[in-house]
Amino acid sequence: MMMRNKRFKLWGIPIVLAIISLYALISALVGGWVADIIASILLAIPIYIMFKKYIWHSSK
Amino acid sequence: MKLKTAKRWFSWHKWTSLICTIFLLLLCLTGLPLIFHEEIEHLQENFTVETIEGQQRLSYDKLVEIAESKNPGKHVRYAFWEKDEHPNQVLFDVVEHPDDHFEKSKYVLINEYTGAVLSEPENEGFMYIMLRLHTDMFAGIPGKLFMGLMGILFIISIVSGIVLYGPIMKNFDFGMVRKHKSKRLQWLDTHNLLGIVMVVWLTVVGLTGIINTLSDVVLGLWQQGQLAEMTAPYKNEKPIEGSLSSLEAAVNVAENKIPTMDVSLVAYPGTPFTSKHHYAVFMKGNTELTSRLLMPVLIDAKSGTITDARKMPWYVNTLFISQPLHFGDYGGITLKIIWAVFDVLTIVILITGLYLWFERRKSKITFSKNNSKVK
Repeated sequence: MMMRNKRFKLWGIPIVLAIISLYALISALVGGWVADIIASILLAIPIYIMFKKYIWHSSK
Repeated sequence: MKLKTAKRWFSWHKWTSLICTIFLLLLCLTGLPLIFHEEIEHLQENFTVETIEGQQRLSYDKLVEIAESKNPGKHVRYAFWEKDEHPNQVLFDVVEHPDDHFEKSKYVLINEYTGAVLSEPENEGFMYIMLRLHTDMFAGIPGKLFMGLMGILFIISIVSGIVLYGPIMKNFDFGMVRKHKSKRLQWLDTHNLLGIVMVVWLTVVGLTGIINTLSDVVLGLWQQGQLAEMTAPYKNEKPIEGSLSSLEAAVNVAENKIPTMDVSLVAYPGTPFTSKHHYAVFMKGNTELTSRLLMPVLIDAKSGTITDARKMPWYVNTLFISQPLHFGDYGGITLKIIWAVFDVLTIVILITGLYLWFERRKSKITFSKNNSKVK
């Protein structure tokens, strides 16, 4: 159980971000303008997380 | 993971990254303006495409005459349309011989309604330099394939980076950036954070980049395979002599054969995209996806009749699909801006990686010097 929690803590967010990114990249390619907007919003999530973590996350 | 295994992965990550970093920096820097090439080219346009209400479009044959009259002694070999993005205009590629190198091409952009020459774009300028540096570093096919090799190293460095992310981050929270400790730790955490968050984008752009570098290989396979099959009955015939059949009629025949698609490109007989006896009319679909896929309709350039029309084989379609996924030009300006942000952040990953290598090397040298002094 501990092991599973540790793995989830390590890989959980990266895997979710990977799925979001992949979905966005493909859906914009096959869908219309609505899919383009959704894809842009989804791809903005990893960018937001990177900036948020970099600017606000402090580790002592 | 055992220490020995981790060291091995680290070694793969270090060497594959080191070899390809300088080329990836070049690709990222040149790729940045290329993402916005349509917008930049639009800003540079100094013409408007006038159409007159109720007026018929001029015949393509008349437009060919206009393009050739601007370049005496030369002949049209390709005609390009971008009906969605640039309506009512056609771009002709004019050369002396149909198999001339593309650097010898003269381009003439013509208004389909008035016959006015809108511009004569040249293979020069900032965007052309960026494109050549990005695709082949002015080294032709060997340059392209070399870039493909660098792409393969990049993919290996991504895979090894993912493997190393686990042992490095197992005791830390996701997204940790140790800003208040050493500069080296801050850059290491930045490298890890950006790398793992952008891993899918990096992999997609890397893989599609590799596929794009194989465009000449794909063309060769298509020529030897499907094109050879389609033109097999003409294999032993002499090349066409005298005047060709009408371009307008060839496009009409193709559009009647596949009414759900639009003409995108016509290749004249003798060019690499067709046989010595055919116009190849490449049709594109009307949906987001099918507009990226071309379908060749071969028209006998003497009789004007249709010879064959087939869907492209999977490897050509893979190349077609990989192009938008690499260029990021398929989701409007917002997606292009996102592509540009990812591009800049990739530069940060590369620079932090280089910095970490320098620092590690420096501390190793210092350590061995100190060690030898002690002895």
